[in-house]
Amino acid sequence: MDIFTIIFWVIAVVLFVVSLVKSKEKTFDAMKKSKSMMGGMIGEIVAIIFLIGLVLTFIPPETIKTVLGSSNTIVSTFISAAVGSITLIPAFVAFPLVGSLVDAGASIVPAVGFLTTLTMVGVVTFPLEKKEFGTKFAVTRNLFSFAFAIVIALVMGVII
Amino acid sequence: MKIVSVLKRNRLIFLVLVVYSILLFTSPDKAIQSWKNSTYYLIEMLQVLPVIFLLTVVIEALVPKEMIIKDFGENSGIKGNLFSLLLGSISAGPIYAAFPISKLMLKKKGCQHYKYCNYLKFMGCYKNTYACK
Repeated sequence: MDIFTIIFWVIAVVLFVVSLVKSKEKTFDAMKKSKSMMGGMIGEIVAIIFLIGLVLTFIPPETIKTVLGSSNTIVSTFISAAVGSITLIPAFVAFPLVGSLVDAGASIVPAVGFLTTLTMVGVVTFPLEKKEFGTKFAVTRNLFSFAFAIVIALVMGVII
Repeated sequence: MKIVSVLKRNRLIFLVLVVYSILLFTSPDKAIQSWKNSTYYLIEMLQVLPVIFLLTVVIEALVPKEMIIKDFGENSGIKGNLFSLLLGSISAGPIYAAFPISKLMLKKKGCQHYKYCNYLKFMGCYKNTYACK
């Protein structure tokens, strides 16, 4: 467990105890509600996790490396952003991978595009997002996130 | 009929199961590789989801509805934007962890507009701020 997860655990448990002390009744009531809400999502989340495993088998880090390192910046930025949208790689894997590429002389623009869509756009989580918030919400959020990831990547290219 | 409804509700997981089964027959090594890739995320999920559960309980039990409306609702103005942005930025973890929290805020009618909940989806939040206005 990384430090952030531990911090969140501590905060959550402390708040939960506070809530219990303040009102047992309300807390149990809330637990029931949360249980039914999360219960509706858990099946999808497990499905998503196994979907990620599949995606990573067919788009391994080596492929990502070749895409990011290609010479045509515009094309590779779009492809990198698309790959970042599909995959859900943990940051501690993605940062060293992308970092080593940038160190080796790869352009910063596709690298930023990839890292940004990695967190902002979720193709595999799309079914769950659609179910919970509606199609319009999920489509709009993902499309805008993708577009702005490209913008951020281009702006980063100018700044750095 | 009952089987149909169960299938319908769990469409995604069945789809994934089918793909895995096909892979297991056509190229078993790929199926095994996928399974191995997934285990990391399974562990991550088991670490993160209990926290999210506790947090939704705490929000539901401790935070009064009026406060969420005031701070994140339709008339929260720039303050609401900033709060959402902050909340979105400090939360780490997979994107699906943000879904229950965002949904709860929406349910409490704090977020009259989807855009406010949009911010809760960490990191990418400020871009979405402008995007969805």
